[in-house]
Amino acid sequence: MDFDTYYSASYERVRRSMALTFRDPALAEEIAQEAFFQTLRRWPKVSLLDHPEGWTMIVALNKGRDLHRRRVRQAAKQPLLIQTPTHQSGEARVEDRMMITTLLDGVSERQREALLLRYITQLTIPEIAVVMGCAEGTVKATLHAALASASLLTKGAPNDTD
Amino acid sequence: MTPTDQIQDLFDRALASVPVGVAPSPHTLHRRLHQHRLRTRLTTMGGGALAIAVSVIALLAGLASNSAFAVTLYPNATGSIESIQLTADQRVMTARLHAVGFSNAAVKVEHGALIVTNGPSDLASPTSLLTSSPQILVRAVTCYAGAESGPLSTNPLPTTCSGPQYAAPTTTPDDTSSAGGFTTPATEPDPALSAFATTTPAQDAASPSTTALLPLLPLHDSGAAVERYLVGPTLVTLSSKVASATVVHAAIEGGWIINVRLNPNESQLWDQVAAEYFHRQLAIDLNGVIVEAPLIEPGNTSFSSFDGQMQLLAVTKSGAYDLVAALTSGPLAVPLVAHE
Repeated sequence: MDFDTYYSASYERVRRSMALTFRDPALAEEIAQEAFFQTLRRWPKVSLLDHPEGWTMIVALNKGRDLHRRRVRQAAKQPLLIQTPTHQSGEARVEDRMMITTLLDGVSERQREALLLRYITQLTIPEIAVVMGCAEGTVKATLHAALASASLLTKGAPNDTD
Repeated sequence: MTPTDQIQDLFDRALASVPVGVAPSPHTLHRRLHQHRLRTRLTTMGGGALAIAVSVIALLAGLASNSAFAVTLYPNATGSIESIQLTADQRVMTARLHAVGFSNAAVKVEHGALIVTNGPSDLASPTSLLTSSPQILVRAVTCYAGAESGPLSTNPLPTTCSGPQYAAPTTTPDDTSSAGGFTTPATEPDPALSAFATTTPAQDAASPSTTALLPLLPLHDSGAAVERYLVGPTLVTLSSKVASATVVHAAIEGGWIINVRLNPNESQLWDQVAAEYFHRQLAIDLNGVIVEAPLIEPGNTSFSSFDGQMQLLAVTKSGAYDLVAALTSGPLAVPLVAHE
Protein backbone atom coordinates (compact mmCIF):
# COMPACT_ATOMS: atom_id res chain seq x y z
CA MET A 1 0.00 0.00 0.00
CA ASP A 2 1.36 3.43 -0.86
CA PHE A 3 1.24 6.30 1.60
CA ASP A 4 -1.38 8.35 -0.23
CA THR A 5 -3.88 5.48 -0.22
CA TYR A 6 -3.27 4.85 3.46
CA TYR A 7 -3.63 8.55 4.21
CA SER A 8 -6.97 8.81 2.39
CA ALA A 9 -8.33 5.77 4.19
CA SER A 10 -7.19 6.66 7.71
CA TYR A 11 -6.92 10.42 8.06
CA GLU A 12 -10.54 11.14 8.91
CA ARG A 13 -10.73 8.36 11.51
CA VAL A 14 -7.60 9.57 13.29
CA ARG A 15 -8.75 13.19 13.17
CA ARG A 16 -12.14 12.34 14.64
CA SER A 17 -10.56 10.22 17.36
CA MET A 18 -8.41 13.15 18.36
CA ALA A 19 -11.45 15.45 18.31
CA LEU A 20 -13.18 13.07 20.70
CA THR A 21 -10.12 12.78 22.91
CA PHE A 22 -9.14 16.43 23.12
CA ARG A 23 -12.52 18.10 22.41
CA ASP A 24 -10.98 20.63 20.06
CA PRO A 25 -11.55 20.23 16.29
CA ALA A 26 -8.75 22.63 15.35
CA LEU A 27 -6.31 20.93 17.66
CA ALA A 28 -7.43 17.54 16.35
CA GLU A 29 -6.64 18.60 12.80
CA GLU A 30 -3.21 19.85 13.82
CA ILE A 31 -2.49 16.62 15.68
CA ALA A 32 -3.65 14.46 12.77
CA GLN A 33 -1.51 16.40 10.30
CA GLU A 34 1.53 16.06 12.50
CA ALA A 35 0.93 12.35 13.10
CA PHE A 36 0.60 11.64 9.38
CA PHE A 37 3.69 13.72 8.65
CA GLN A 38 5.63 11.56 11.11
CA THR A 39 4.09 8.50 9.47
CA LEU A 40 5.25 9.69 6.03
CA ARG A 41 8.78 10.27 7.35
CA ARG A 42 8.95 6.68 8.53
CA TRP A 43 6.71 5.14 5.88
CA PRO A 44 9.26 2.54 4.66
CA LYS A 45 9.14 0.95 8.12
CA VAL A 46 5.58 1.81 9.16
CA SER A 47 4.15 0.38 5.93
CA LEU A 48 5.61 -3.00 6.87
CA LEU A 49 3.60 -3.11 10.10
CA ASP A 50 0.45 -5.21 10.18
CA HIS A 51 -1.53 -2.18 11.37
CA PRO A 52 0.04 1.15 10.41
CA GLU A 53 -2.97 3.02 11.74
CA GLY A 54 -2.27 1.76 15.24
CA TRP A 55 1.19 3.31 14.98
CA THR A 56 -0.23 6.60 13.69
CA MET A 57 -2.84 6.62 16.44
CA ILE A 58 -0.20 6.25 19.16
CA VAL A 59 1.90 9.04 17.59
CA ALA A 60 -1.21 11.25 17.43
CA LEU A 61 -2.04 10.61 21.07
CA ASN A 62 1.49 11.44 22.17
CA LYS A 63 1.58 14.58 20.05
CA GLY A 64 -1.91 15.55 21.20
CA ARG A 65 -0.98 15.14 24.83
CA ASP A 66 1.97 17.50 24.42
CA LEU A 67 0.00 20.11 22.48
CA HIS A 68 -2.97 19.87 24.82
CA ARG A 69 -0.79 20.41 27.90
CA ARG A 70 0.91 23.36 26.27
CA ARG A 71 -2.43 24.95 25.41
CA VAL A 72 -3.79 24.38 28.89
CA ARG A 73 -0.73 26.08 30.35
CA GLN A 74 -1.09 28.98 27.91
CA ALA A 75 -4.82 29.27 28.62
CA ALA A 76 -4.14 29.49 32.34
CA LYS A 77 -2.11 32.64 31.67
CA GLN A 78 -4.78 34.26 29.47
CA PRO A 79 -7.86 36.18 30.61
CA LEU A 80 -10.94 33.98 30.60
CA LEU A 81 -12.63 33.99 27.22
CA ILE A 82 -16.16 32.96 26.48
CA GLN A 83 -16.09 29.68 24.64
CA THR A 84 -18.30 29.53 21.57
CA PRO A 85 -20.24 26.27 21.50
CA THR A 86 -19.72 24.19 18.39
CA HIS A 87 -22.62 23.28 16.16
CA GLN A 88 -24.18 19.98 17.19
CA SER A 89 -25.91 17.75 14.74
CA GLY A 90 -28.35 16.10 17.13
CA GLU A 91 -28.97 15.79 20.80
CA ALA A 92 -28.65 12.02 20.95
CA ARG A 93 -25.33 12.11 19.11
CA VAL A 94 -24.09 14.80 21.43
CA GLU A 95 -24.88 12.59 24.37
CA ASP A 96 -22.96 9.73 22.80
CA ARG A 97 -20.03 11.98 22.18
CA MET A 98 -20.16 13.39 25.68
CA MET A 99 -20.12 9.89 27.13
CA ILE A 100 -17.06 8.94 25.14
CA THR A 101 -15.19 12.19 25.75
CA THR A 102 -15.96 11.89 29.46
CA LEU A 103 -14.72 8.31 29.38
CA LEU A 104 -11.53 9.29 27.55
CA ASP A 105 -10.98 12.21 29.93
CA GLY A 106 -11.26 10.04 32.98
CA VAL A 107 -8.83 7.28 32.11
CA SER A 108 -5.05 7.05 32.12
CA GLU A 109 -2.96 7.59 29.01
CA ARG A 110 -2.35 3.87 28.55
CA GLN A 111 -6.03 3.14 28.99
CA ARG A 112 -6.89 5.81 26.42
CA GLU A 113 -4.48 4.27 23.93
CA ALA A 114 -6.00 0.85 24.45
CA LEU A 115 -9.57 2.13 24.05
CA LEU A 116 -8.84 3.94 20.79
CA LEU A 117 -6.93 1.03 19.33
CA ARG A 118 -9.70 -1.39 20.30
CA TYR A 119 -12.86 0.50 19.45
CA ILE A 120 -11.79 2.95 16.77
CA THR A 121 -8.87 1.32 14.99
CA GLN A 122 -10.65 -2.03 15.52
CA LEU A 123 -7.56 -3.98 16.49
CA THR A 124 -7.84 -7.30 18.30
CA ILE A 125 -6.31 -7.83 21.73
CA PRO A 126 -3.18 -9.59 20.34
CA GLU A 127 -2.73 -6.79 17.80
CA ILE A 128 -3.05 -4.11 20.47
CA ALA A 129 -0.49 -5.97 22.57
CA VAL A 130 1.98 -5.76 19.67
CA VAL A 131 1.33 -2.06 19.05
CA MET A 132 1.52 -1.14 22.75
CA GLY A 133 4.43 -3.48 23.44
CA CYS A 134 2.84 -5.37 26.31
CA ALA A 135 1.22 -8.74 27.08
CA GLU A 136 -2.28 -9.62 25.94
CA GLY A 137 -3.36 -10.01 29.56
CA THR A 138 -2.18 -6.48 30.27
CA VAL A 139 -4.25 -5.16 27.37
CA LYS A 140 -7.35 -6.96 28.64
CA ALA A 141 -6.82 -5.66 32.15
CA THR A 142 -6.21 -2.14 30.87
CA LEU A 143 -9.38 -2.12 28.78
CA HIS A 144 -11.42 -3.62 31.57
CA ALA A 145 -10.18 -1.07 34.07
CA ALA A 146 -10.86 1.77 31.64
CA LEU A 147 -14.43 0.74 30.98
CA ALA A 148 -15.11 -0.21 34.58
CA SER A 149 -13.89 3.15 35.78
CA ALA A 150 -16.50 4.79 33.60
CA SER A 151 -19.20 2.34 34.67
CA LEU A 152 -19.63 1.22 31.08
CA LEU A 153 -19.21 -2.38 32.10
CA THR A 154 -22.11 -3.66 34.07
CA LYS A 155 -21.67 -6.30 36.67
CA GLY A 156 -21.09 -9.62 34.97
CA ALA A 157 -20.09 -8.14 31.65
CA PRO A 158 -17.37 -9.96 29.74
CA ASN A 159 -13.89 -9.27 30.97
CA ASP A 160 -12.72 -8.61 27.73
CA THR A 161 -13.72 -6.78 25.61
CA ASP A 162 -12.64 -9.04 22.84
CA MET B 1 -26.48 -7.08 21.73
CA THR B 2 -23.57 -7.96 24.04
CA PRO B 3 -22.03 -5.33 26.32
CA THR B 4 -18.96 -5.31 24.08
CA ASP B 5 -21.14 -4.63 21.05
CA GLN B 6 -22.88 -1.86 22.95
CA ILE B 7 -19.58 -0.21 23.76
CA GLN B 8 -18.49 -0.56 20.14
CA ASP B 9 -21.77 0.94 19.01
CA LEU B 10 -21.32 3.85 21.39
CA PHE B 11 -17.85 4.55 20.04
CA ASP B 12 -19.10 4.29 16.45
CA ARG B 13 -21.90 6.78 17.09
CA ALA B 14 -19.61 9.15 18.98
CA LEU B 15 -17.09 9.05 16.14
CA ALA B 16 -19.82 9.68 13.58
CA SER B 17 -21.05 12.66 15.56
CA VAL B 18 -17.77 14.55 15.12
CA PRO B 19 -18.29 17.17 12.38
CA VAL B 20 -16.85 16.20 9.03
CA GLY B 21 -13.49 17.75 8.18
CA VAL B 22 -11.64 18.09 4.91
CA ALA B 23 -8.41 16.12 4.72
CA PRO B 24 -5.64 18.25 3.23
CA SER B 25 -4.04 16.82 0.11
CA PRO B 26 -1.28 14.29 0.85
CA HIS B 27 0.90 16.33 -1.49
CA THR B 28 1.04 18.95 1.25
CA LEU B 29 2.76 16.37 3.44
CA HIS B 30 5.10 15.31 0.64
CA ARG B 31 6.10 18.93 0.10
CA ARG B 32 6.59 19.47 3.81
CA LEU B 33 8.78 16.38 3.99
CA HIS B 34 10.87 17.63 1.09
CA GLN B 35 11.34 21.03 2.72
CA HIS B 36 12.16 19.32 5.99
CA ARG B 37 14.88 17.29 4.30
CA LEU B 38 16.31 20.41 2.71
CA ARG B 39 16.56 22.07 6.10
CA THR B 40 18.16 18.96 7.52
CA ARG B 41 20.74 18.99 4.79
CA LEU B 42 21.50 22.65 5.27
CA THR B 43 22.13 22.11 8.97
CA THR B 44 24.61 19.41 8.15
CA MET B 45 26.75 21.84 6.16
CA GLY B 46 28.27 23.14 9.37
CA GLY B 47 29.72 19.76 10.16
CA GLY B 48 32.20 19.71 7.31
CA ALA B 49 35.15 18.51 9.32
CA LEU B 50 33.14 15.73 10.90
CA ALA B 51 31.85 14.77 7.48
CA ILE B 52 35.34 14.31 6.14
CA ALA B 53 36.23 12.11 9.11
CA VAL B 54 33.10 10.02 8.60
CA SER B 55 33.83 9.75 4.90
CA VAL B 56 37.35 8.51 5.46
CA ILE B 57 36.30 5.97 8.07
CA ALA B 58 33.44 4.69 5.92
CA LEU B 59 35.74 4.47 2.96
CA LEU B 60 38.37 2.50 4.82
CA ALA B 61 36.03 0.33 6.86
CA GLY B 62 33.11 -0.22 4.55
CA LEU B 63 33.80 -0.04 0.90
CA ALA B 64 37.03 -1.93 0.81
CA SER B 65 35.26 -4.95 2.26
CA ASN B 66 33.09 -5.46 -0.83
CA SER B 67 33.77 -8.64 -2.70
CA ALA B 68 36.19 -8.69 -5.60
CA PHE B 69 34.74 -8.74 -9.08
CA ALA B 70 35.72 -8.82 -12.75
CA VAL B 71 33.90 -6.97 -15.47
CA THR B 72 34.51 -5.93 -19.06
CA LEU B 73 33.66 -2.36 -20.03
CA TYR B 74 32.99 -1.66 -23.70
CA PRO B 75 32.88 1.78 -25.33
CA ASN B 76 29.27 2.91 -25.49
CA ALA B 77 29.55 5.02 -28.62
CA THR B 78 29.14 4.67 -32.35
CA GLY B 79 32.01 5.08 -34.77
CA SER B 80 35.62 4.13 -34.33
CA ILE B 81 37.24 4.47 -30.95
CA GLU B 82 40.90 5.38 -30.83
CA SER B 83 43.24 3.62 -28.47
CA ILE B 84 44.20 6.93 -26.89
CA GLN B 85 40.58 7.35 -25.75
CA LEU B 86 40.60 3.94 -24.11
CA THR B 87 43.91 4.69 -22.45
CA ALA B 88 42.42 7.91 -21.06
CA ASP B 89 39.42 5.96 -19.79
CA GLN B 90 41.77 3.42 -18.21
CA ARG B 91 43.44 6.22 -16.27
CA VAL B 92 40.13 7.78 -15.17
CA MET B 93 38.62 4.40 -14.24
CA THR B 94 41.67 3.45 -12.18
CA ALA B 95 41.41 6.74 -10.29
CA ARG B 96 37.71 6.19 -9.66
CA LEU B 97 38.17 2.64 -8.38
CA HIS B 98 40.96 3.70 -6.04
CA ALA B 99 38.78 6.59 -4.84
CA VAL B 100 35.98 4.21 -3.82
CA GLY B 101 38.38 2.05 -1.83
CA PHE B 102 39.37 -0.66 -4.33
CA SER B 103 43.09 -0.06 -4.20
CA ASN B 104 43.78 -3.56 -5.61
CA ALA B 105 41.59 -3.01 -8.65
CA ALA B 106 43.36 -3.39 -11.98
CA VAL B 107 42.23 -1.93 -15.29
CA LYS B 108 43.65 -3.28 -18.56
CA VAL B 109 42.96 -2.32 -22.16
CA GLU B 110 42.41 -5.44 -24.25
CA HIS B 111 40.67 -5.98 -27.59
CA GLY B 112 39.04 -2.56 -27.64
CA ALA B 113 37.63 -2.79 -24.10
CA LEU B 114 38.60 -2.21 -20.50
CA ILE B 115 38.88 -5.28 -18.29
CA VAL B 116 38.50 -4.50 -14.62
CA THR B 117 39.47 -7.04 -11.98
CA ASN B 118 39.05 -6.77 -8.21
CA GLY B 119 36.56 -3.96 -8.68
CA PRO B 120 33.16 -3.38 -7.06
CA SER B 121 30.20 -5.50 -8.10
CA ASP B 122 28.01 -2.49 -8.84
CA LEU B 123 30.34 -1.59 -11.69
CA ALA B 124 28.25 -3.95 -13.82
CA SER B 125 25.05 -2.02 -13.18
CA PRO B 126 23.88 -0.04 -16.21
CA THR B 127 23.15 2.87 -13.88
CA SER B 128 26.58 2.86 -12.22
CA LEU B 129 27.97 6.36 -12.01
CA LEU B 130 31.49 4.92 -12.25
CA THR B 131 30.96 4.22 -15.95
CA SER B 132 29.39 7.59 -16.74
CA SER B 133 30.43 11.21 -16.89
CA PRO B 134 27.86 12.89 -14.67
CA GLN B 135 26.71 16.33 -15.74
CA ILE B 136 25.18 18.79 -13.33
CA LEU B 137 22.53 20.88 -15.05
CA VAL B 138 20.92 23.81 -13.28
CA ARG B 139 17.35 24.47 -14.38
CA ALA B 140 14.55 26.76 -13.19
CA VAL B 141 11.52 25.14 -11.57
CA THR B 142 8.40 25.94 -13.59
CA CYS B 143 5.88 24.01 -11.55
CA TYR B 144 5.51 21.09 -9.24
CA ALA B 145 4.00 17.85 -10.58
CA GLY B 146 2.83 14.66 -8.95
CA ALA B 147 3.31 11.15 -10.27
CA GLU B 148 2.19 9.90 -13.68
CA SER B 149 -1.40 8.70 -13.63
CA GLY B 150 -3.99 7.59 -16.13
CA PRO B 151 -3.40 7.29 -19.86
CA LEU B 152 -0.38 9.23 -21.01
CA SER B 153 -0.75 12.11 -23.43
CA THR B 154 0.99 12.06 -26.80
CA ASN B 155 1.02 15.86 -26.97
CA PRO B 156 4.31 17.72 -26.59
CA LEU B 157 5.28 18.50 -23.02
CA PRO B 158 3.87 21.93 -22.06
CA THR B 159 6.37 24.64 -21.22
CA THR B 160 4.10 26.37 -18.70
CA CYS B 161 1.77 25.31 -15.92
CA SER B 162 -1.93 24.85 -16.66
CA GLY B 163 -2.83 27.67 -14.26
CA PRO B 164 -1.07 30.49 -12.43
CA GLN B 165 -1.87 28.88 -9.07
CA TYR B 166 0.52 26.04 -9.91
CA ALA B 167 3.36 28.20 -11.21
CA ALA B 168 6.58 28.92 -9.36
CA PRO B 169 7.34 32.68 -9.14
CA THR B 170 8.98 33.94 -12.32
CA THR B 171 10.62 36.93 -10.67
CA THR B 172 12.28 37.38 -7.30
CA PRO B 173 9.53 38.41 -4.86
CA ASP B 174 9.69 42.03 -3.69
CA ASP B 175 9.37 41.19 -0.02
CA THR B 176 12.78 39.94 0.99
CA SER B 177 12.71 41.32 4.49
CA SER B 178 11.43 38.26 6.34
CA ALA B 179 13.52 38.06 9.48
CA GLY B 180 12.51 34.49 10.24
CA GLY B 181 13.46 33.21 6.83
CA PHE B 182 11.76 33.68 3.49
CA THR B 183 9.11 31.12 2.57
CA THR B 184 6.88 30.54 -0.41
CA PRO B 185 3.39 29.12 -0.06
CA ALA B 186 3.18 25.41 -0.81
CA THR B 187 1.69 24.86 -4.23
CA GLU B 188 -0.35 21.86 -5.24
CA PRO B 189 0.91 19.70 -8.10
CA ASP B 190 -0.33 20.76 -11.50
CA PRO B 191 -2.97 18.11 -12.33
CA ALA B 192 -2.49 18.59 -16.08
CA LEU B 193 1.06 17.22 -15.83
CA SER B 194 0.02 13.82 -14.48
CA ALA B 195 -0.84 12.82 -18.05
CA PHE B 196 2.70 13.43 -19.29
CA ALA B 197 5.49 10.88 -19.21
CA THR B 198 8.62 11.59 -17.23
CA THR B 199 11.55 12.75 -19.34
CA THR B 200 14.08 9.92 -19.56
CA PRO B 201 17.78 10.44 -18.76
CA ALA B 202 18.60 9.84 -22.43
CA GLN B 203 16.10 12.51 -23.54
CA ASP B 204 17.42 14.86 -20.88
CA ALA B 205 21.01 14.38 -22.02
CA ALA B 206 20.08 14.76 -25.69
CA SER B 207 18.01 17.94 -25.21
CA PRO B 208 19.26 19.92 -22.23
CA SER B 209 17.94 23.15 -23.73
CA THR B 210 14.30 22.17 -23.71
CA THR B 211 11.68 21.91 -20.99
CA ALA B 212 11.72 18.61 -19.13
CA LEU B 213 9.52 16.78 -16.64
CA LEU B 214 12.00 15.23 -14.24
CA PRO B 215 11.59 13.03 -11.16
CA LEU B 216 12.79 14.16 -7.76
CA LEU B 217 15.26 11.65 -6.35
CA PRO B 218 13.08 9.38 -4.17
CA LEU B 219 14.73 8.62 -0.85
CA HIS B 220 12.41 5.95 0.41
CA ASP B 221 9.95 4.80 -2.21
CA SER B 222 10.97 1.79 -4.21
CA GLY B 223 8.37 2.44 -6.91
CA ALA B 224 7.93 5.23 -9.43
CA ALA B 225 8.73 8.80 -8.49
CA VAL B 226 5.95 10.40 -6.48
CA GLU B 227 7.23 13.91 -7.02
CA ARG B 228 8.26 15.47 -10.28
CA TYR B 229 9.06 18.98 -11.44
CA LEU B 230 8.46 20.67 -14.75
CA VAL B 231 11.74 22.47 -15.31
CA GLY B 232 12.82 25.00 -17.89
CA PRO B 233 15.81 24.88 -20.25
CA THR B 234 19.23 24.41 -18.69
CA LEU B 235 20.53 27.69 -17.30
CA VAL B 236 24.07 26.48 -16.77
CA THR B 237 25.91 23.19 -17.25
CA LEU B 238 28.61 22.46 -14.73
CA SER B 239 31.53 20.32 -15.79
CA SER B 240 32.06 16.71 -14.83
CA LYS B 241 35.15 17.58 -12.82
CA VAL B 242 34.80 19.49 -9.58
CA ALA B 243 37.45 20.82 -7.23
CA SER B 244 36.43 18.52 -4.38
CA ALA B 245 33.54 16.44 -3.15
CA THR B 246 32.87 14.73 0.17
CA VAL B 247 30.10 12.46 1.39
CA VAL B 248 27.94 13.18 4.44
CA HIS B 249 25.39 10.72 5.76
CA ALA B 250 22.04 12.38 6.40
CA ALA B 251 21.45 10.39 9.55
CA ILE B 252 17.94 11.67 10.20
CA GLU B 253 16.25 11.25 6.89
CA GLY B 254 18.30 8.57 5.19
CA GLY B 255 20.16 9.20 1.99
CA TRP B 256 23.65 10.54 1.48
CA ILE B 257 24.62 14.14 0.93
CA ILE B 258 27.58 15.06 -1.25
CA ASN B 259 29.15 18.41 -0.49
CA VAL B 260 30.67 19.68 -3.71
CA ARG B 261 33.12 22.52 -4.18
CA LEU B 262 33.13 23.79 -7.74
CA ASN B 263 36.10 25.12 -9.67
CA PRO B 264 36.49 28.93 -9.49
CA ASN B 265 35.13 29.65 -12.95
CA GLU B 266 32.12 27.43 -12.39
CA SER B 267 31.61 28.86 -8.94
CA GLN B 268 31.11 32.21 -10.64
CA LEU B 269 28.54 30.73 -13.05
CA TRP B 270 26.65 29.09 -10.19
CA ASP B 271 26.58 32.39 -8.27
CA GLN B 272 25.31 34.29 -11.31
CA VAL B 273 22.37 31.94 -11.75
CA ALA B 274 21.65 31.71 -8.03
CA ALA B 275 21.68 35.50 -7.69
CA GLU B 276 19.23 35.83 -10.55
CA TYR B 277 16.99 33.24 -8.90
CA PHE B 278 17.36 34.57 -5.34
CA HIS B 279 14.36 33.44 -3.22
CA ARG B 280 13.18 31.29 -6.12
CA GLN B 281 13.49 27.60 -6.71
CA LEU B 282 16.17 25.99 -8.86
CA ALA B 283 16.48 22.34 -9.76
CA ILE B 284 19.81 20.51 -9.81
CA ASP B 285 19.52 17.92 -12.57
CA LEU B 286 22.03 15.08 -12.38
CA ASN B 287 21.73 12.58 -15.22
CA GLY B 288 17.99 13.14 -15.60
CA VAL B 289 17.07 13.11 -11.92
CA ILE B 290 16.55 16.16 -9.72
CA VAL B 291 18.87 15.63 -6.78
CA GLU B 292 18.05 18.96 -5.17
CA ALA B 293 15.39 21.63 -5.75
CA PRO B 294 16.46 24.33 -3.33
CA LEU B 295 14.81 27.65 -2.63
CA ILE B 296 17.78 29.97 -2.94
CA GLU B 297 18.96 31.35 0.41
CA PRO B 298 15.62 31.61 2.21
CA GLY B 299 17.39 32.70 5.39
CA ASN B 300 19.05 35.73 3.75
CA THR B 301 17.57 39.13 2.98
CA SER B 302 20.00 39.63 0.11
CA PHE B 303 22.04 37.25 -2.01
CA SER B 304 25.45 36.16 -0.80
CA SER B 305 27.93 34.06 -2.77
CA PHE B 306 27.83 30.29 -2.40
CA ASP B 307 31.61 30.37 -2.65
CA GLY B 308 31.52 27.44 -5.03
CA GLN B 309 29.58 25.17 -2.68
CA MET B 310 26.71 22.98 -3.77
CA GLN B 311 24.98 19.94 -2.31
CA LEU B 312 23.91 16.84 -4.19
CA LEU B 313 22.10 13.79 -2.90
CA ALA B 314 22.39 10.05 -3.41
CA VAL B 315 20.17 7.26 -2.13
CA THR B 316 22.85 4.73 -1.24
CA LYS B 317 26.30 4.91 0.26
CA SER B 318 27.94 3.24 -2.73
CA GLY B 319 26.05 5.58 -5.08
CA ALA B 320 27.32 8.59 -3.14
CA TYR B 321 30.93 7.43 -3.27
CA ASP B 322 30.62 6.49 -6.93
CA LEU B 323 29.36 9.99 -7.65
CA VAL B 324 32.19 11.58 -5.69
CA ALA B 325 34.71 9.43 -7.55
CA ALA B 326 33.17 10.31 -10.90
CA LEU B 327 32.99 14.04 -10.16
CA THR B 328 36.52 14.33 -8.85
CA SER B 329 38.28 12.16 -11.43
CA GLY B 330 36.91 14.01 -14.44
CA PRO B 331 34.89 12.81 -17.41
CA LEU B 332 35.57 9.65 -19.37
CA ALA B 333 36.95 10.20 -22.84
CA VAL B 334 34.35 7.79 -24.14
CA PRO B 335 31.34 6.47 -22.19
CA LEU B 336 31.48 2.83 -21.12
CA VAL B 337 28.96 0.07 -20.71
CA ALA B 338 29.52 -3.09 -18.69
CA HIS B 339 29.33 -6.74 -19.70
CA GLU B 340 30.10 -9.34 -17.06
